[in-house]
Amino acid sequence: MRNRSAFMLLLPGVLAICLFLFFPLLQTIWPTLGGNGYSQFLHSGYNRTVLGRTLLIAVVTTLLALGLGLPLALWIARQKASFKSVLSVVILFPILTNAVVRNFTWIIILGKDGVLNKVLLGLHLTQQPVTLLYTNAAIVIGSVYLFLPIMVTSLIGSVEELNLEVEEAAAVLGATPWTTFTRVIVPQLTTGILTGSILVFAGAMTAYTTPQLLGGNRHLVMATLIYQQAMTLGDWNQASVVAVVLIIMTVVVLGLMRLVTRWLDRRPSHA
Amino acid sequence: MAELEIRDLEMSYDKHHQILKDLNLQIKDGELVSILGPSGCGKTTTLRIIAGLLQQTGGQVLVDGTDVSKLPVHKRQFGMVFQSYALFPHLTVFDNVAFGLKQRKVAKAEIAKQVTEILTITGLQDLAKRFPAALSGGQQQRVSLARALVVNPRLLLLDEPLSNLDAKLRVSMREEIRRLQQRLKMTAMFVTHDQEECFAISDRVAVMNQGKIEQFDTPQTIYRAPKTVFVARFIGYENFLPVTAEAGLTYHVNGVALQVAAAVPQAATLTIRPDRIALVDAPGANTVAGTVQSSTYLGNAYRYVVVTKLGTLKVDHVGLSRLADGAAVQLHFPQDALLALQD
Repeated sequence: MRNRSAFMLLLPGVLAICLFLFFPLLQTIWPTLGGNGYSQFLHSGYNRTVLGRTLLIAVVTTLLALGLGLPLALWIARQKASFKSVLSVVILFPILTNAVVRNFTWIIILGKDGVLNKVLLGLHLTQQPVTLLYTNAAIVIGSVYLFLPIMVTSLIGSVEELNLEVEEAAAVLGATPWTTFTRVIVPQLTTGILTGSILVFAGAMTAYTTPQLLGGNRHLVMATLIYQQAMTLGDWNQASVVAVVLIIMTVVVLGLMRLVTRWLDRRPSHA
Repeated sequence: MAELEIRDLEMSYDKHHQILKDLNLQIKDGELVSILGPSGCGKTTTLRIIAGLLQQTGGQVLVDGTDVSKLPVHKRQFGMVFQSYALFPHLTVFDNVAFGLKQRKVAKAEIAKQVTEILTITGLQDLAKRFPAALSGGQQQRVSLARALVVNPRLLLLDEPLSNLDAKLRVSMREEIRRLQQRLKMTAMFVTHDQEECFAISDRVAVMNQGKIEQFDTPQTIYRAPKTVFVARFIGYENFLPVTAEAGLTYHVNGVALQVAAAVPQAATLTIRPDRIALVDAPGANTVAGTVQSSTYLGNAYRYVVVTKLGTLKVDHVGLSRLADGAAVQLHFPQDALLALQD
């Protein structure tokens, strides 16, 4: 009886996954099988550039989010409880704002007559306005801003499990603060680092709004390429091909990440 | 390894909360000194200042005559054993112990040799490849000790290292700590709130109360001749009699004249342990009449609460029969067991 009721409880979830995840996925993959969609895709230098750009942006975004998020998570975890809860809400702010509004803010900051250029010109750091908007850098900036909260939130769980006395023990044993960070703190955070990186990478790899608004038409990524193929060119088959390539690339990189983490996390044997 | 001197140490987090006040302490080379006190007395703060984990607001910490107050933790070359053991969870027992040697850039072969040696001394040789999570509390504590000892520290600091162990293990571990400290001739400072534990392993004991050292002596002296009411109370004296008048070796408490073996000028309190009060048959010198109010069986003795002219006293009496409540008794205070205290 118990097993049966447990199954009944699971059923809606299982059905939802089959209906809303596997079915559309199969529907995307199916038409691309047979035909020469994939070789066409890979033969196009333009498509390869878009694929490379997408990967580059996702990797750089993940690394920057990690580099900024790790110190932030360490700092937040060590604040007083009351201040910590305030910080956790503040840190989530980018996720809570509307994607279009969020990116328009960056357009205002990064544009040719934007805030940043006005400051640079005002300080005479540059004679001409710098092109910031509609570049890969703009997409990265927007993505890091969007995904940093996810990275910090993933890390905080691991960071809060750290025992401060362990770090003190390292210091007493002669470890410099940097050695303590790299040899004692980071190795204890591999789970959080992996979780955060997977979420940020997968998000940055498949994001649509941010690259669309901050990258413009000359800096397409896979997600915006899919949209262009389907909605502008009406080539649904090629759009599906791009979508499948995107899925494969994402899965491959996530698998690699997991391997690297396992290698880092290998319990070192003494020699 | 080294001598430690604490000179006029002061610590306060703000103007109103002074944790340590003018603390002075000297530890000789190869000596094991304990700081004994209740929680919140500042003993752990003192240890953390010595280690360099906290910065004092005044005074100096000198090692072999050199002030190390400005030296960062990782340059002090001390060893420390923490209450939580604080082992590196991602490293094996071997790598935990090797950590300090690696920071000192010792050659790999030499590290292997020294780590193996200390693991053998501490009885951990078979656990070298285990991770801390796979060890018992006692084993973890041993690793923590081995890790602190292997670097041959100038000073070994132990912060309540036994408080997370069960009673039996605590006794064997404290003997082991003492054995290793003596064998390696290490200068050590041990912080604890357990009187028996600290008497068992220390050369000298500093009893601490509210940021001040009340008495710094050998365990024997502290046990036999506590100087203050706080020290006496902390190490098991339970009867405190307010002095109303004094003349030489004779003190008056509520009109009763009591003789002590050693007089203290301006003594305010007399004290005696419950087990040093004798039950006698007849009135006499240093004897007072009383009535048993209640009794408790302690195993080796009966604990009586006796109401007397001096106040309500606790008396431990080894005897086969139990006195009934309300029984009239004569309590005798042996002259050498009755101590005069200044405060």
